[in-house]
Amino acid sequence: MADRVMELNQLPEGASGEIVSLNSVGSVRNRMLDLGLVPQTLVTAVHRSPLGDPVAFLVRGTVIALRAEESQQVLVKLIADEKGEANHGSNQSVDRVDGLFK
Amino acid sequence: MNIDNGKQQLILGEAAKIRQGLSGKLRDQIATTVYQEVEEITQQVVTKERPQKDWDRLFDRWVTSKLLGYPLMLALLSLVFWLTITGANYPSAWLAKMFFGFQEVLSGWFRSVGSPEWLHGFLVLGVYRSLAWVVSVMLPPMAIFFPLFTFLEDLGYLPRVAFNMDRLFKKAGAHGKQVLTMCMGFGCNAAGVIACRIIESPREKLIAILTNNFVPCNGRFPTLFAMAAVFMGALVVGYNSAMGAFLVAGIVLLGIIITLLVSWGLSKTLLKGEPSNFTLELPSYRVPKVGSLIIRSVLDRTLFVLMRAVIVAAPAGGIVWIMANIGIGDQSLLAHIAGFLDGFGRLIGLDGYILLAFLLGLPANEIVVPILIMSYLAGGSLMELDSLAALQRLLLDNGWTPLTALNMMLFSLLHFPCATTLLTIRKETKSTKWTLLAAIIPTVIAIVVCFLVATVARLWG
Amino acid sequence: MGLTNQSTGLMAFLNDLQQEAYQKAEGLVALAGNPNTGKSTLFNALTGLRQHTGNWPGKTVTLAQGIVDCQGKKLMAVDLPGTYSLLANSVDEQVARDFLYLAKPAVTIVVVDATCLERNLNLLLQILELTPRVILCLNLVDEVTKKGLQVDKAKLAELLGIPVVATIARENQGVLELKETIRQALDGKIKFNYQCKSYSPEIEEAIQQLEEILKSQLPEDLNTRWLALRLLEGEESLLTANGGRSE
Repeated sequence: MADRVMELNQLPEGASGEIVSLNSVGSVRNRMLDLGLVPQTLVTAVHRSPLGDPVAFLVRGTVIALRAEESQQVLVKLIADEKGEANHGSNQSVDRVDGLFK
Repeated sequence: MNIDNGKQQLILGEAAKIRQGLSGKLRDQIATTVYQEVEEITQQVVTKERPQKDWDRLFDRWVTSKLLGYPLMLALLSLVFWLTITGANYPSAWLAKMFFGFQEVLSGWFRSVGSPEWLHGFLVLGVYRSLAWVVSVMLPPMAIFFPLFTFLEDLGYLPRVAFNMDRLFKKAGAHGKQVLTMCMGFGCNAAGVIACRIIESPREKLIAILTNNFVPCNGRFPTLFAMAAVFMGALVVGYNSAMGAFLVAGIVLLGIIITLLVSWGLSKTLLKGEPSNFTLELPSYRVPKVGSLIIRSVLDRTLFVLMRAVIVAAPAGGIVWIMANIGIGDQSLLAHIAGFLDGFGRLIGLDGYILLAFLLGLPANEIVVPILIMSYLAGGSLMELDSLAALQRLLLDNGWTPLTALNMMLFSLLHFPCATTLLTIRKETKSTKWTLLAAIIPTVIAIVVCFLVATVARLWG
Repeated sequence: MGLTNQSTGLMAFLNDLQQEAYQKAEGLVALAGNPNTGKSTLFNALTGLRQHTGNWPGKTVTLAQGIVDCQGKKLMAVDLPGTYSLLANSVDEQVARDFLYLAKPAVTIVVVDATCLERNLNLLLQILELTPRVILCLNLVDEVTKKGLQVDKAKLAELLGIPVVATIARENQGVLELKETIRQALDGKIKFNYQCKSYSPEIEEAIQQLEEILKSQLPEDLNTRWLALRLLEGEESLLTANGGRSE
């Protein structure tokens, strides 16, 4: 069963994903890291602005709006779809992998 | 504590050497480690007791919805204006009555001590009368507008506006946070220009600074409100303040459209470049504490802006009186200058006195209408101006049409920023070139738009 | 570049401030925190200074200052720009960082929104790496219950090894306790025992190497571990801003 990996801006409204990788560079990357968008973080797309972009994401208890340019650079694995139902049985809570860079 | 250059170089060299030996991205690893610790702590400290209705998301669903997001913004804007106009009417009239009543008393005193007529004219008819106008016309709307605005700000609505509008600003090559600086500009453009510091990219910051003037500041709202009343009052039978509010909201909307167009133009020409990154927090809604909100908005904003207006209005009133009473030949200096400007003024649907008022109003937009009134009054006999109806009569007597009122609104919205704002732009950009452009761009646009409107109106008859 | 301008401006500000602080006040307190945490409201409650506050991301660009009276001891309080981080991604962050690093406040109060600790702790931990003398101010605690959450204040203090004070700044609640805590910290009655996290062995080794050089070259009172990390990230302005350019 393959994980559904997509760009963060493809995440449907109401769906949640777990960050797989962060591809942005330079100051954008630093800004994203500061917001806690590190791999294995859970992100939920909460709503789209009236014109479709930017999209507001719930990350670590705060709602942050990102333009498509930024959110495209974040790859996520679908965890739960719009209805909040778990994707192929994986648990919604994210387990940390220990010793990330040992 | 001093570190000499040699030591600096040594340390930096060593640091670079060690850095090169590291595998992977250091900043990534730091962020991951810190957030790992953050998660460990929050997991032990925070417990979710019971699932709670998420009011923020519920509100946001409406406030930022495809269908309602924009209409709601427009409705709120109109509501704020309507409350301001309606609420300010009576206190304004009351203040004006009081001040102009006191003017009689003052004049009596001057006569009783046998002061020369020029001194009475300068101090009472010039300085005092313009002060009276500024306070009675500006104080009530500001005392209503600022608390309302601060309420929306403290509620957390403004970041939602930025969220809703960002797409348009991105298309214009500008930053979404420009909206926040524009909101600030509603209060005072100088404050709006300072607020542009929240935009990090220098290019987008400059765009925001150069276009901030297109949102009408509080010094211009009284002009807009008065002109809306004159315009609608002359045009529509059964005028009411709701119509005025919609007209003003329409003018503000036009200002936003011009902002977007000019931002787009700048980002395609003088300030070329890609939009920078945009991250905006949508904080929780918080019901503001009304008491402290009123105190803060009255003290920090209303009185601040009013004091500035008063400081500028007093000498300006005196100067206008002098200009109106120093004669060259058979005409006053004021009439001479106005006559000189009149041809151009009429070309763009205004007149010489209006243009002169805008020029003399450079120190602060608040005094444009008072100067205009003084100029019109200087020719005729003394008149008490205690209501908008009286103002309307005065303007109609001086050859105004609804078109004049409309163009006056447009010119007020689009023309050069006030001196304070220009000085602030100079300070923030540290560049005379950009400061000049900040004055020239709006002025050219104001002239072109007014000319077009006047021409179209003339063709229509 | 503009970086140095910024820093020299800050140095001038610090000089002015310190002179005033020494004349009038008996110590320096910094207020740091994310935007929208009620930091400015708390600042007002502490100093009684009038200053506008609002839900405006990143609004406090200028550094407001005022006097806090902590049971007779007058302290100079400085309200730092609201930032999510201290890693100098923006002018605001740089000002906040340079202030903490250069002005070395006697105590730093980190104001956090108790309803979203996870977002706010990032900045706290970054600050703790720079200066251990931190009082954590859990603001907006009234909204915690409203949101159906519970925050274990004692546990938080225990895990972090620093004092934690709960406040509702806009109701003026907890402000007195905060002042007491500041006073106790100044009187040396509080132990600050935050244990810095360690990074991967590779990074730790790099830090150690650079720290040795820094210790031999720089005055003693600097936080060399923190400086080493920043230099490894390529933040060279920190060294040059120290006065190296003040010819």
